[in-house]
Amino acid sequence: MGVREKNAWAMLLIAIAGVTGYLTLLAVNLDRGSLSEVGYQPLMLWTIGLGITAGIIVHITLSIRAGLAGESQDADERDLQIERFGTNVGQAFLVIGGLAGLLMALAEWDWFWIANALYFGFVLSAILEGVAEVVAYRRGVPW
Amino acid sequence: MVKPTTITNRIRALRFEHGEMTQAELGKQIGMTRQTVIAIEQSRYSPSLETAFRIAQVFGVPLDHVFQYN
Repeated sequence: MGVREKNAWAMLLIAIAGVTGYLTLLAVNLDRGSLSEVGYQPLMLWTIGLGITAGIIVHITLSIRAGLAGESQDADERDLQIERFGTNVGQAFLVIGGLAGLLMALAEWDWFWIANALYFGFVLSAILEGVAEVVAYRRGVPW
Repeated sequence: MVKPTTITNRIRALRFEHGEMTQAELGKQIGMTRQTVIAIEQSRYSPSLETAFRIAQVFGVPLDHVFQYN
């Protein structure tokens, strides 16, 4: 497995872990009735922050390991094609999330729902992008 | 309706005819990763025309000796 494919797997797993962690913390706090005290904002911000940090650390670690093993880290034409495919697939959810947030804001919904719609737009986009890339690496780009 | 087409190749055979060239060596010569060479060999990825010509050039054969369009 090349370094780019490993990165795609890592980003996918981090996105899944992030959203699972966020939903779990949200459910626990809702259950305890402490969500109004704690607020969803720190949970969301911590999850996003930890996800970004984990992504950077994993990326650096994989790059160092590939460098030590003498593996090429440059993207070739197949890597770029798979990356484009992943971005195209993930883009749909980014638009859906943004549009949902916009409509909720126009309808003057609670900020909780607007923030979560945008958050899930980003997360689902990242997950779908990751799945598309991993599948494309394994089975090829469908065109 | 357009009939599905497949591009097959003889890269594996050509590598062995050329001193059992490894996939990594071929990849280095054409500027691709070993994983991409594997994907091309297994027909999971159709390379660009430029890459296809580069592969043929490495083996010193015409393009249609490497790739076949069915």
